Amino acid sequence: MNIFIDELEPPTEAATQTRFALYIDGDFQFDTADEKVYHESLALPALSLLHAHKPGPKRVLICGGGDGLALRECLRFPNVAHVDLVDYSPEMLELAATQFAAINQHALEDTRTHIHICDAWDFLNGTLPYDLIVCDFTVPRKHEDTRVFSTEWFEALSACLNPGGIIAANTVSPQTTPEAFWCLMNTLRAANLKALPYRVCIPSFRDHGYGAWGFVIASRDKRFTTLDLKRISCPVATEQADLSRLWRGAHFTRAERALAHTAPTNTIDGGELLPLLLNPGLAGIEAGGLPDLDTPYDLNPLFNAIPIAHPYHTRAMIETLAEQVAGSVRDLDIPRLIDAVIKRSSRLSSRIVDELRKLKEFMQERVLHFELFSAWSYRLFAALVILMTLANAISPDNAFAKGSFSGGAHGGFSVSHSTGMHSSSSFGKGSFGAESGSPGGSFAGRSSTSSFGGQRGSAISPSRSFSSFSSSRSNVLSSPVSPHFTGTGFRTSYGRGTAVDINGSYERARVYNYWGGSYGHPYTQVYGGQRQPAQQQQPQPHEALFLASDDMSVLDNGDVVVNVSESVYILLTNGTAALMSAGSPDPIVMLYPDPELFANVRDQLAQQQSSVVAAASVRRDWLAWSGWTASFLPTVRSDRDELRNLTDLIHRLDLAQQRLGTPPAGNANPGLKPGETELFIGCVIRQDGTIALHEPDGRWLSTDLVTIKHNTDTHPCPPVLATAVRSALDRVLRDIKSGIKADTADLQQLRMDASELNSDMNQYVSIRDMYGDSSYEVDYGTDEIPVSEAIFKTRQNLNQTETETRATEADIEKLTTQQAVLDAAVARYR
Amino acid sequence: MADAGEAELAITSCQLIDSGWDDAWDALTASCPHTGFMQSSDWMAFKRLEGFITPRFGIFDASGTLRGGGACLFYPSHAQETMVICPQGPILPWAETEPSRHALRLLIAEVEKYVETHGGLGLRIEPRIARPVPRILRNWVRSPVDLDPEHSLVIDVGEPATEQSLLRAMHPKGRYNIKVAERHGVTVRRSTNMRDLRPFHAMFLDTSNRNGFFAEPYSFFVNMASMLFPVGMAELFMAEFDGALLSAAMVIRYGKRATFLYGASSAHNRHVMPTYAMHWNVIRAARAAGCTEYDLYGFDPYDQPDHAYAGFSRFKRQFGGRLFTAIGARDLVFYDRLADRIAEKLAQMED
Repeated sequence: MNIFIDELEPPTEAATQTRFALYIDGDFQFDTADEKVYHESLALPALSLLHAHKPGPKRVLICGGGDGLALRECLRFPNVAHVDLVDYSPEMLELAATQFAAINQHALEDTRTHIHICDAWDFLNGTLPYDLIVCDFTVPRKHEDTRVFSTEWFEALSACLNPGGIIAANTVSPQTTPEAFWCLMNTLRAANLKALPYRVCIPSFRDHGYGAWGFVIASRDKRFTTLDLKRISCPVATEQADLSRLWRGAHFTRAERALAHTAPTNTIDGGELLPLLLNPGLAGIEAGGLPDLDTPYDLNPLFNAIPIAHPYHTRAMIETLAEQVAGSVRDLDIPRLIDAVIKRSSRLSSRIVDELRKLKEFMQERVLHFELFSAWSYRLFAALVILMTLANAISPDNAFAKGSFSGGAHGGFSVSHSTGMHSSSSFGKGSFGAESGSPGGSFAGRSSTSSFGGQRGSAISPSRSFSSFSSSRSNVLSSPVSPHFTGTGFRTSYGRGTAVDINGSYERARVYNYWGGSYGHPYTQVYGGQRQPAQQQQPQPHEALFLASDDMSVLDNGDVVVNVSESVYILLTNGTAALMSAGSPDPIVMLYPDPELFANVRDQLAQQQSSVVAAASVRRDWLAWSGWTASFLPTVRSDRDELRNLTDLIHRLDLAQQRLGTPPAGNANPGLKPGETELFIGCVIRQDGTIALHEPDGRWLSTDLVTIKHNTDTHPCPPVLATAVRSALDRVLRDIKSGIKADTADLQQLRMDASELNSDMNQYVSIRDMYGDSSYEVDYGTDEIPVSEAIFKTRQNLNQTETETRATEADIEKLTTQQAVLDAAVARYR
Repeated sequence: MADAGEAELAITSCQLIDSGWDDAWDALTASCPHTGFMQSSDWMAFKRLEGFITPRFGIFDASGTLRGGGACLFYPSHAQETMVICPQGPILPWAETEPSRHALRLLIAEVEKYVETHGGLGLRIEPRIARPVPRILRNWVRSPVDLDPEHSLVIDVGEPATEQSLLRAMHPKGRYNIKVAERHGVTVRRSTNMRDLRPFHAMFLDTSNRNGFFAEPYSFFVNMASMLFPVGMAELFMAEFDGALLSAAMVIRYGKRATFLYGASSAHNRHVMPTYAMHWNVIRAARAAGCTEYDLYGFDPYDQPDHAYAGFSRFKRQFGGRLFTAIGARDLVFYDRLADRIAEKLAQMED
């Protein structure tokens, strides 16, 4: 046991004792500033009820609670005649007798106190009965910790109660882990105890993310009700808990209580509690269970169903990890795995076995295309992803991994990678059998090597794909599906000179200075800094408030901007798209308002908005309960601020969707022609080096940055447009160069792999020829396999390496060509 | 290839070794360049506080001398779905193919015995060796996650380097910024006091919020610091200006290497360049402690704008250093055990 006493504040004149917090194995236990809210709420209600209903001297048992604080509360009752305190930790009891003696008021020295250093289970055997049993255990982190929250445990306690006796126990949070909370209530009921749950707001618990805390009073013979709590009369004064309000905490809404209908009971063997504690909101999903696969090839239900297995983890972490696993499981020796599964055919139906056999046959010759098979191969994939994600997720460190890999040559041996080139497409969350070349990629398709772990919401990591970084469009369109609201930026940063994203990450807000209102009809031809009508005297500065993606921000007035470079952006408002410069309030040029782009931006805003709505609803629920404490608790005040910020953001995202407007239906964006490179949305550099801008009417104007040709007219190119184009050129060129650098490193690795594989191949072939026996066993890594199989596998690996080498070379060639175009353009337009 | 070489015969056995071997194990791992602090006995003790079981396998030669092995992490799972992880290990004679193949096979056999009773779907290793990937790992697959970054930036701080030569090797801007911090009066305090953990963690969370990476919770650092501070393996470097903490680093020292494992910085007063002063002090402290390397950890060598380490890499590059690219984590899947669980799942799905 690792005990850490965190000294928070030194003694002052007002407070003569040091304020400290106690952590056991890193888990917060109490803060001396408000520990009495907890310990009074745990012990005093039960003692008061006992006092009212069962006069006379009382025998009390405290299980856990080695700090002596629950003991202190019990000893305040004069008719408590005997207390047995049972804790297995001598270190904790030593602290209680020394360092904590001042705060537990020397409770361990009281003559009524009897200390027992042992496991509470062992103590129960053969003990005399008690009038009150207090359970004060730490929240379970591991399965074995849940034994003292099981039916068996409560049955054992019940057997040790005197008639009319009461159990008072701390539970878990009904707010943050409601399924686990109601599971515990059902567990008590399964042990034939009548339970009255209630919850209490403890500020330090809230600070540690524990939420409102749950307690329970249970009895074998009497059913206590909210009314009993309302009428409670405590013969000793409380210092921090407000027992007169306690009954409010015992009121649970119908929806809350409804969870009890589906919550399981926790038994020692079943281990039902821990998965519910770690996976609030996923009630009913057995650890490692499988989702309903109604939509084949959609990975989202799969990811959503993978349970959290460690208290450090969040759903966003697990889903990020699952994406990484899904991108890499194809590297496993699938034929070998299928063989091994087929060997277990006695457990499977003939239908599954038949399909597995077909899959195996198919895989003899070709790379794996799971999507060509029917549902069972998908299910095999699903089971594989779930199991391997669980295997990775169970280890707490993996979620904080410093890197990740999802296939491709970049990581070393191509031998274990069936395909995979980083620069071709990226592995996308939510797609399983997408068409080759689509942004989603496919299980058998290509995947990105650069989706580094630990980046929240980094479902799509197109960092080295030229097609993505060359275009602000791609970044705008590639937001993760179902974003998660996770960060604390809305408590600390929102609206304070920083722009916050959905994950709570923030950065200094950019200010955009432009004339208010719309930039006219989408077909208005505005370029060269044509000024707006003088309906406003001054351009309005607008601050970025919300980062919808890496490149896209929502401003304080609801307008949406897409950043092209540090000084250039595209303003999307009222169905128009305007290229803007930070240095001028006027549009540089109006651009074609691509309806598809607008629809995608709107979808993305709507998705993020629904995430924020859900987050706000959780906070509203919490504040409805604890809001009255805001006047004296700073943390609750900041909860209130956060809710206000979220509500504000919801309105602004509404406004953003309205202000975005809808462009007139036009022709779909034709995409890039051969030899063209997109500099930003609506701007391409043509093969001949001229710059073309897509005009609102769908036509293109071209410029050499000296003049602009529009239809048959020629105008001087405004300097501001030339500057904007130059800055975009610089950015794209920089990105291309880093792409080439990464590709070149990949290529070097692939060539090294190929050389080693060829050398192995020669050795295998010579062994086969020497012995004339294809079943002769040879080393293959740490395996020993027949030489024929080693040759087959090595040949496959060589083929894959070759394919990847060709693809990388092609990619380098493409990038180099583009670099040449860009270099020429940069030189020409310098 | 099928035949073992002479050196292979020297290694004869692999077995679980207990805490009685701590000193010998640490002496071995601290002197081995292909591993790091994650193999140390103290790091494993910290991991036990975090709930891991830490079986350690020693590889011995015919004379009974400890020659290598792997300290592993195993997180107990009710459903037995977990991997045995050997972080920054195993310790093998990696440069010699056949002896390392033999030793690795002995290790695998022991781990397989171990998972028969404890459960586990495979073994993950992550030795600190540079590419190319050793051919003895041909049948191992690349893991979906790495505990160590694939690319890191390492500064050789030991002899013959001097402070002057280290400064000269830096990017001029890095050198200049160290001076700027000095001119502004930024001070760097070293601490192994638990009281400094809370301000460090608060700033670390702020940094993670700003940069969008997952941050370990306070409890993780409480466990780490309470185990590693007293033995001198971890230390905080805290850069302060005008009485306020502006940046902090959790540095791990083991063997001849100091590692910048966690960093935190404030968004305020960046103009006084506190992080430069801090790292320069870490470098000097590493030299004083006899380290030859300062590992600045995660790094993007390709200047990719969207890389998770892009911002950090631009900063780290100012200190000079050389790129180290590791082979990354590798998994050996126990196919029979995985097949058992998959068959179970498929049957469940049919129900």
